[in-house]
Amino acid sequence: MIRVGESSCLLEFATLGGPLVALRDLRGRPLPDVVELVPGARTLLVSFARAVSARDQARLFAAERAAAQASEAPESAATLHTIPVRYDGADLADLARHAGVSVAQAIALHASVEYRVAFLGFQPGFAYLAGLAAALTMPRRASPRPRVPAGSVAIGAEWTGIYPAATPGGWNLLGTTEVRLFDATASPPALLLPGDRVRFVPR
Amino acid sequence: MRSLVVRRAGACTTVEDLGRRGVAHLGVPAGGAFDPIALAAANLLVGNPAGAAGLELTLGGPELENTGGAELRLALTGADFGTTIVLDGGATVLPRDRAVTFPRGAILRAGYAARGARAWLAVGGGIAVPPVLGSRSTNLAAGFGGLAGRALREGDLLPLGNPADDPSHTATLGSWSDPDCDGIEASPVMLRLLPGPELARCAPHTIARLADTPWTVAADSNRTGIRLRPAHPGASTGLEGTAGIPPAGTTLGAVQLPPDGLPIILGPDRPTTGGYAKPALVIAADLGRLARLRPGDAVRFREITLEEALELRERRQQALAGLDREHAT
Repeated sequence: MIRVGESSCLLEFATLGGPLVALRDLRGRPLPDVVELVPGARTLLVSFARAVSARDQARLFAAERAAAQASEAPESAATLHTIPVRYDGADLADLARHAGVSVAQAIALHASVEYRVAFLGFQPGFAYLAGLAAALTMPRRASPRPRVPAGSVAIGAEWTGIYPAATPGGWNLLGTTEVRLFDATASPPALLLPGDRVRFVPR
Repeated sequence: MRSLVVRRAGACTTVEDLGRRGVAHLGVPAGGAFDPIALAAANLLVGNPAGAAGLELTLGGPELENTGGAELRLALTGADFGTTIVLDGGATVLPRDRAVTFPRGAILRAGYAARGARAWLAVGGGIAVPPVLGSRSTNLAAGFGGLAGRALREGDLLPLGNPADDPSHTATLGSWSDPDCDGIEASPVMLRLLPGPELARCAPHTIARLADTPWTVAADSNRTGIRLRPAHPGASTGLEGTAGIPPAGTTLGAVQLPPDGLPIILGPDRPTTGGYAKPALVIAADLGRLARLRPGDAVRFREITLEEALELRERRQQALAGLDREHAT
């Protein structure tokens, strides 16, 4: 665990599932004055409305340790989202070449896995999905595109994800979906939540 | 109806309150006033709750007319925009850091900030745009919150809430003085640092190199981040950034060091997670100075201890608490 300034702590884990276990624990038995619990890749940021106390640190340290020892199997109750995808992305051929497979095989590989939402970031509703086949991992483009359309399904390093809104972006584009991923007026506003399960279905 | 008409929008004037809580795990930035303490102070001065929505002015201020049927109360904190109140052809200077009355038919005219980038305007009753995800703050990137999810435009009508109490009450209110933003009048502006969460992943002496380099605020700075360049162009800072850090939650004031070695200090509209190393953090008490930085400003860093930072944070909070107590009596 690392103290982050006056009012936050960053819990650290060996695995991607660790932050989700600690998130569940700290939501179930909340610490007073916590304003944000933000999972990252193998981290959980805990921010308070006040300075962090020694008592908070002891409790967070315990949560970090407990999560490291707990089972990380996704809860069977975690929502499963089925996302229809038109695999017509501008980088699909490059991705297949990079993976050493045919385009059809690359699509099958991407659509054959059940992914898990590790955390969100970059823009509202943008979920980082863990579980990508090793062959499909591909570095971000050397120079980001000035505009990636909303609904683009993409791969960045070991992550796959969907851009909820048009934005400049550097991930490799596989296809598009019409599913709406973020609506500020909905509750919850993001479709994909940390811990949720996701499957892509070619259409 | 209590309202303000926007006669001139200014460079980037947005509706802000104290931001969104509990939505960062959905990728939604907190947003809110770049200096929450300054907005809270302005609100308390006019008798609003600290978290009422006001306006954040940036570099060039707006012109607002009180077209509603009621006299309003105003307070302006932050940088000096040379603001005047115009009524019946006569202009009077709007003093900062205290409540003033804004008569029916009067026009508030903010000019260009001579020093500092931002100011915060509170109006009695607060700006009554509908809250989105628990806040009236404007998310410019995603286009929601505030007034139609965007900065103000000429011709906009700003709806106002009803003031909580008797206007005569504020006559007893004192003024606000900010113990930590006097430094903004100095050049360079000193920002004090704590070690950041990824300091161990950065090259040795990274904080020392940040502190040894004179910096200038770059033109592409905004509410997402304040970008710095070496004050002496071409000077080697010896700083190396780190990319490919597993994305981790970000905090307001974190100093992010991308591979080009040019620091970005994260603002209220920053992405909620980031994959660049953050070797340092601007202390909470200096977030007001950070919020006031404008392109071209000279900046220096100095590392202090966590104990000192906690004391300074407490001092700035206490100044606000004093105002709150005065309001309560």
